[in-house]
Amino acid sequence: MQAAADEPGLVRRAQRGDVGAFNQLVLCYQQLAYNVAYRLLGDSDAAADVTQDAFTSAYQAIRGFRGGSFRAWLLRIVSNGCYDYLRSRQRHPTASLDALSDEEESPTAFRDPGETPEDAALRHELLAHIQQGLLTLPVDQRVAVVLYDVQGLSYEEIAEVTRASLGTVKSRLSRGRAHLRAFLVRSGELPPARFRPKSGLEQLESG
Amino acid sequence: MRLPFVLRPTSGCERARGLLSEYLNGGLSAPDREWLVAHLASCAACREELESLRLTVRLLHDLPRVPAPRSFLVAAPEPRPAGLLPALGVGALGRATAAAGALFAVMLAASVALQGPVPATSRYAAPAEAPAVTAPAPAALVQATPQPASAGESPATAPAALSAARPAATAAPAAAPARPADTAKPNEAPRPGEAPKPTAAPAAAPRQPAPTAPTEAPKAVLPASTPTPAPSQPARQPAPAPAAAAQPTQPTQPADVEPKAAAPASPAGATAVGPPAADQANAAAQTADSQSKAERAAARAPEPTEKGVGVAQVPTSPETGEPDKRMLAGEAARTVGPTAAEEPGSSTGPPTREFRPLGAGFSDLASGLRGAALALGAAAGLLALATGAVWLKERRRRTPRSGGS
Repeated sequence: MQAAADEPGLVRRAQRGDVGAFNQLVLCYQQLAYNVAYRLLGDSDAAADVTQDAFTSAYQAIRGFRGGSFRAWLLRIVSNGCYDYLRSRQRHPTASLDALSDEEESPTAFRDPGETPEDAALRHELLAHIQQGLLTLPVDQRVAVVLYDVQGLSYEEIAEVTRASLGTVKSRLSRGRAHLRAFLVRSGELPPARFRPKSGLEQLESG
Repeated sequence: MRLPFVLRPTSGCERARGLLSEYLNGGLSAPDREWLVAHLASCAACREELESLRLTVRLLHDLPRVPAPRSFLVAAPEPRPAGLLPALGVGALGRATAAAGALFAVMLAASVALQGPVPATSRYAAPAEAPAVTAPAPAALVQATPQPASAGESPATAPAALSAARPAATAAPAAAPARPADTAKPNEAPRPGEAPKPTAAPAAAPRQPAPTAPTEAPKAVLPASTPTPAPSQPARQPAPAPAAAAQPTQPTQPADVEPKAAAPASPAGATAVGPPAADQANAAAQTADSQSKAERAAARAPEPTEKGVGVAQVPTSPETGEPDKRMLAGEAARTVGPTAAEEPGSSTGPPTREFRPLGAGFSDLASGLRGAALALGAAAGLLALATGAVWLKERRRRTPRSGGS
């Protein structure tokens, strides 16, 4: 998601009630917002609802935006919506039939042309495990891992989104990664190094 | 200050695990990085963990971007997002709350205002209007009854007196006509209807001074004092007026014009006891009546006197006692009693309650209005609370939980 060419200008116009300007911002960030929600919730429908509500709320509250990173401000609204959704689901648990089995991550989706059906199935299973592992993390750690490792935000932006200190962000990320690694190891998705082919980087490092 | 390694709570591997994530991010300080590299070189377990962690991070980085199922464009700006009362909007709710609150305050003030006047009117002013109603006559008759209490009846009489006064005046007419016959009989007063009522009670006491008058007279006198004020406060002094009427002695005070004139004349012509009583009655009537009425009465002073005579009959009745009582009894059921009469000074107070007949109408009306005002006020209060709650809820709902800037 590339920021709009004139993001500050679009924000100012949106603050004056220009929906068109705001919708340009929506087009810029809707993929990012939806993916963050999806990784945090593991449910495409819930993620879509939360994302829509987040954009609506953002439009209504954009006059209160005082500058800074619009992306961080928007993602904070999205993450707050996810927190609310998760809390409500805790109070009223319902079985999600499509969680971890979304079509978006079906074996045929994003299939490498040279990938065999078997490889595609294994990859899909791995992706499902990773998403499941993410959902086992505490929400704070999940947010840090998703924003840093999946979405590529900086520490500073994550600190702004979560309103936490940099140290806290680093700590949450470190613990989140460690938990996820342990989860994948237990699930057999991470075979011992000796049984794994070395990646190019590892070969360089070891060499 | 770095603590000696031996004092560290974690072993070398534990410390290394804490640095692995940041090592992968390239954010370790040079000393930590050097230490970790040295540790990894000698610890296979930590190396294995580093590799699995690196793979985990790579998998996370490689997670495919999930395409959004739909566009999340915001719909055309709705000036007022739909809410509980979209048609009205928050502003309307706020205004409704304010309006309901104001209505509540007005109703409250109205009820209080009505409450104040009511008692006063029932006591004094009531007669003015009450007499017209009807009750007065009966009351007067009742008082006419020669009971010692008659003086006490004065309160009740007050109305009657008023009515009597009015007969001449106006309002009383209704009541007057009804009983004229009764009172008229004894009375010499040319106008039976009027004479009977008015004087009835008051007159009775005074005129028959001979018989019962004494007893009542005193009381009457006291009331007389009240009458004086009555004139000044016509509207409210009706009650006292009756008392005044009862007082034969002070005709002058009661009716500014009538009493005086009548008093002299009436006594003479009234023969019986009527005149004075009549005067008093008139006076009372005047006092009772509003100033305007009083004036009218004054103008008709002469008549009243005669009527007063008729009233005197009432006393007569007291003398006779029995006949009047019948009549009185019939209608008198209302007349409370001579309580007020007993206490001249207090006459005003007690009469008020005994005014039942006269005041009743007005007080009922007033109480009805008051009740309605209170009911409306309560409804407005509830409405204010309800709309206020909705307004707050609506407002809260519209304030999104933003991430802040």
